Amino acid sequence: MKKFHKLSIRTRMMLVFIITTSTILFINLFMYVNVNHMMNRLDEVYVSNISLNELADTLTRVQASMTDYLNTRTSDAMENYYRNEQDYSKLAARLNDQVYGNELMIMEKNIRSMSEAYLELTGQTIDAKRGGNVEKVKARYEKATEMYGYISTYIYSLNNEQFRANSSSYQALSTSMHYLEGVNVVALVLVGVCNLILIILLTGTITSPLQKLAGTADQVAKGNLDVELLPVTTADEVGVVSTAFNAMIVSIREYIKRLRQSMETENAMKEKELMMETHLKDAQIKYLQAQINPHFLFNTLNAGAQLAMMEGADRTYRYVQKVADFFRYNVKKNNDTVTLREEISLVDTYIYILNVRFSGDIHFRKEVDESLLDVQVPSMILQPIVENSVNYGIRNIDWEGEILLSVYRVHDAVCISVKDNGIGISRETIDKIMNSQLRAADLSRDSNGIGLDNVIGRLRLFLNDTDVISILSEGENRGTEVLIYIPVREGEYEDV
Amino acid sequence: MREAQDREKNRQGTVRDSRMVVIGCVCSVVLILLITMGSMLVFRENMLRSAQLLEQTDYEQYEAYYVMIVSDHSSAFWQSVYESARKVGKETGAYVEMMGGNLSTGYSREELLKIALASGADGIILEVDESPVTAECLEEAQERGIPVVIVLKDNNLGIRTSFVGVSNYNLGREYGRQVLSITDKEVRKVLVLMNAETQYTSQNIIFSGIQETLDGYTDIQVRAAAVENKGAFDVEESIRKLFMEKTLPDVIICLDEISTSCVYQAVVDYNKVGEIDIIGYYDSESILRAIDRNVVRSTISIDTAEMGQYSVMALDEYRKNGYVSEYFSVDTNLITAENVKEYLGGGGSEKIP
Repeated sequence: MKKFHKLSIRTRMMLVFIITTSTILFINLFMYVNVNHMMNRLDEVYVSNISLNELADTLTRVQASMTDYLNTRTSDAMENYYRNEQDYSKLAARLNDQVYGNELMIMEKNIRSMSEAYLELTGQTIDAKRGGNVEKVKARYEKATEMYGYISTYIYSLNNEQFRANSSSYQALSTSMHYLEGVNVVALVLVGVCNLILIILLTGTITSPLQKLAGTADQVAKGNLDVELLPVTTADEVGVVSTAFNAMIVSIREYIKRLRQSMETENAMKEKELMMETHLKDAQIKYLQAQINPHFLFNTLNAGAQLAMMEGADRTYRYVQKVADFFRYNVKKNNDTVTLREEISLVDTYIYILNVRFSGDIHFRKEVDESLLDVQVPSMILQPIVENSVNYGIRNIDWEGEILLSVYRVHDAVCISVKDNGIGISRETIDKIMNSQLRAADLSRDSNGIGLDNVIGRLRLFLNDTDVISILSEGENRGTEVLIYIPVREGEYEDV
Repeated sequence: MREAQDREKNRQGTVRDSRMVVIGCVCSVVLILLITMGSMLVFRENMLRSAQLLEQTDYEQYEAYYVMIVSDHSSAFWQSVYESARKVGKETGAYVEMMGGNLSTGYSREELLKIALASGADGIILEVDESPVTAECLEEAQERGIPVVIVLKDNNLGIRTSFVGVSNYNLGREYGRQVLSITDKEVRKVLVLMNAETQYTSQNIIFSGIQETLDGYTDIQVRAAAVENKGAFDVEESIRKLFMEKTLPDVIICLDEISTSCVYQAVVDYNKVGEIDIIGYYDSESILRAIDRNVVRSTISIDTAEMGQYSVMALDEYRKNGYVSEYFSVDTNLITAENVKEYLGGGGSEKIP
């Protein structure tokens, strides 16, 4: 069977058909031979009757030709008689001449003996006729005719008896013929069923690997690469294709596995990077906000304001109240984004405080587009800028210092401008500020801790853009302008 | 690793499948062979049985061929004689044939005798008649050295090798004694049915035997009636005619089987049971039953087995030695209502213990 699996499909198919066809052929041949044999036997059954009929016919001819000769005395009749006599004695010589314990054989023997006597009589009759002895002719003719009658009766009777015996032979043969017919039908049906089973089994071994291959290929075509590998048991064409198919599936699986691995690594790396960035930003925000946490101051001032109110010093109360508002704002808005309105109000508070401190030296003007005041900004961005303008722009100038805060719209952004007419700022310094290279040591001691650098950093993180702030100065003593651009998200302030 | 295991499992599964295929193939091939061989064997046997019917060469071969020619080959009496002769012949190597039994034409005894002579029989057992043709044939047989044994009734031709039968005189005396044994009624008239065709003396000897026995009894009249026996059914007709007569006999004596049966039936038909006593001949089943019913008073049977046996023995002896004793006496048995039970259910005389 293993060898069978190594054969090609063509050879195997041929083998299957040769086996089944030759089995049926063999059975049919066997049946044919049997039936043929039977037919021959059937033909033989009545042979004895046929030969007896022939014997009877010849006997009749002998008698007829003798009578003819006796009537006509022609040489033709004579010739006929001798020919028939010879035929008849030949036929009679074939009959049994022994005493057997069987009626039919005895009858045969009697026929033979009587035939010999009869032929002798006819011969004598013919001789007498030739000799012209009329008396003898008559007597012998009568005797011969009598004998002819006996022989005819015997032949007829034997024929009857044999026919009966032959009929029983025929019956037996016919029965066995019927039996043979039955056997043939049963054998043919069984052989047919066996062959059918054989063909189903054998073709099954050929087609089942093909069906498996087709099924698996269909699965793969639908995208399921996780199929079981095909069993390869044959060395035929299907076996070769199956092996190649298996190899293909394995290599595709391998390839996909590798691809997935590399993708996973890349993703992990990206994720890590993102996390790091987030953490960094978070830390920065935390750090920067930590620098501007004036809890203590706020509480203390609150107490001072209460005291001033109790003593009736209204100006002091107001002043301390403002200062307290200033610091409260810090405490309240430490972590949140706020509206631009709140930021501007803080700047107002701050300027009030400074004006009290410096006896109204600072001229502060606002040019604000009220409709833009609801824009969200990080807290504590305007005040440090204004503080910067006060500390570095207009503190030590000889002319009257002025600060202008304006809010307006430029295309799709809200522009917040803080402009002074102070000493200005050099380009190098601007660059340093923008690149966060200004050291803490460079900062004025008056600073409340939140420097321009911090503001810039926070704005950049908040807006996720580096180009959110610009510092303009036309030169020494010609003032400075800080511009902040807050992009307006689509749909916001459409009505403006 | 797992793939390799899967593949191994699959491979094993397929190996199992192919094993199934192998088993299937082997089974079907074996089945086909078995069917073929089985049918071949049974068929051969059948053929042999048929062939045996056709074969005819395996019959026993005999040295001699004897024929038996009797008046009525189908009667139980002669069949019984023939059976015995055939049996004895088989032992001594002679085939005995009852002539005419299997022929399509019913031949007379003379014709059968002619056929037997032409067929080259080695011996003839003959129930003789007294026709000149028979005499001619017997002469021819004598010329050709063919032994002829005359059975049952002797002829007056004197041409025979031997005679096997009963003494007719003794038979007559036995009939007479049977008439005298009737004591329950007065016997006045005794009728002896005799064959009209028979010219020879056997019946006359029987008749004289009867007469002699009844000689001293003057009140008993013994009369002989001829029964026509020419045609096939003459016996029955002539017996019926007897019953049409005004005066019926008290006792009817029958000298053969057929007339016994016919008289018995006629007595029953004419309602004469008890009025006419029948003294019969031979022990056929119907005659025995008639005795049992008291319709037939008694019957005299001849030992048919002995008759068959002696006939064949005589022929064998003649062929062997060239001469043989001229007369073989065969026993007779008297069957009456007293001993009929011993014979009933048996049939032939050969059943006698």
